[in-house]
Amino acid sequence: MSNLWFEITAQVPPSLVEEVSDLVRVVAPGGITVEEPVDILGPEEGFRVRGDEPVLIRAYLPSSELGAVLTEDLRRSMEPFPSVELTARPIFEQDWAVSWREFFGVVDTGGRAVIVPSWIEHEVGPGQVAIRLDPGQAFGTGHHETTRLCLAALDSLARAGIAMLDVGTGSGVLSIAAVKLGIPSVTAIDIDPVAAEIARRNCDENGIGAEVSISAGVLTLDHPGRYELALSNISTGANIGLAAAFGAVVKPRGDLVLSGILAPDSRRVVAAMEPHGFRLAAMAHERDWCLIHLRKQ
Amino acid sequence: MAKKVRAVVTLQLPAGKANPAPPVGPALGQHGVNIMEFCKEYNARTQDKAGNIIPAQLTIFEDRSFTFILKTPPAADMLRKAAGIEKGSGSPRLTKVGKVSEDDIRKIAQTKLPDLNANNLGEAMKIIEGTARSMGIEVE
Repeated sequence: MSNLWFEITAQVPPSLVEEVSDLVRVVAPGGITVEEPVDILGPEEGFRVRGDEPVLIRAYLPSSELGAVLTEDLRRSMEPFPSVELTARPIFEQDWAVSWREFFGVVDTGGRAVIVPSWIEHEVGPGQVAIRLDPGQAFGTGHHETTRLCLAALDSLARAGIAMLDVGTGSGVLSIAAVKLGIPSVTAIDIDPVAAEIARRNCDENGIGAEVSISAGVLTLDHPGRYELALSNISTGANIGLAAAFGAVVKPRGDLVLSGILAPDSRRVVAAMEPHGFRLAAMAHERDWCLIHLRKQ
Repeated sequence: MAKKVRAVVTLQLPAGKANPAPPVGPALGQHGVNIMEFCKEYNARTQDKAGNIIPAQLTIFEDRSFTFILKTPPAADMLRKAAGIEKGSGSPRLTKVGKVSEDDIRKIAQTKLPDLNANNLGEAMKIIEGTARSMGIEVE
């Protein structure tokens, strides 16, 4: 039978968070969690803390005699703070080191690229390629519409003999897919050095380290490479900001694929690319998200 | 990538000692965060701060990938260490449990400045003094 824990939650006015979290840490030396209420903003905009609303401080105590004593100690230590609300709920112990994996499975986009986490044995179908990728510290697990839209676009655009630029590579998922779908040379770039490092690791683990050149930084007008295909899964604002750079790096008659765009923003993005020689070739949608495929004149 | 946030969680953990047991396991497992990757990275980035509580603020994105930043240790933790006490007072107005100097307050305020809602060191010191008072720690 699984062991039982008690999740103790203190609902705390913002002004008391420091003092109350200190008292909670006394009974939970392994650590606590602090959850501030936040407003989730748009893509790339992050979040905003609602500074005037209660904060949730959580500790986990074993369901045992010791746990009961600690819970009672905590209740007593909260007496000077009548505005703090303390609640408890039981939770069963799990193998937390692996239980998070239940959220992830094989991602089959319906095309040739299939994303397979390392802990799953999966045989891909005829003509399909497996991208071995574990979710982690960089965006691009395959479990998001924008990534899936890009994988579907790559399925039709990847071919031998071209060079591709992957802007905002994140986990490197699209670079890996590109090479496995036949593109011999990929340049990947991300403004986040952590993402660039993780993309490098993921490429190596997929045995394509030599085909992908990865760097951390921003795409600029003096970027030295020229490409038949550029793929940029970032955001509306970031894509628009790079319009001139895309114009410089995509070869004539080359393809530019933009993702990370909410459907209502699509016209604005197309309008920003047109002065740089691009014309709309196709659009694809999944839920609220839109992928724009443009061709250089 | 189009990183839209799913959740934000702050973990206050002993430096270098993150593991899948509570609070890390249940707090992050419910969001589908790769727990071992977080623990390895947290421990590597905090190994030189052993003995301190180092908060990590995780931003979890819609596809359950994540990033995290380290924050400065909680002011209360630094105050207890400076005062040489195990815990704050249960009734801070009546019972004083320790003392810190103004220099201690200044040092703590300096360390905490990046994470405080303060425009300068003087404002930060006032916040830290307030925390000390509410813990029953006197400032000399």
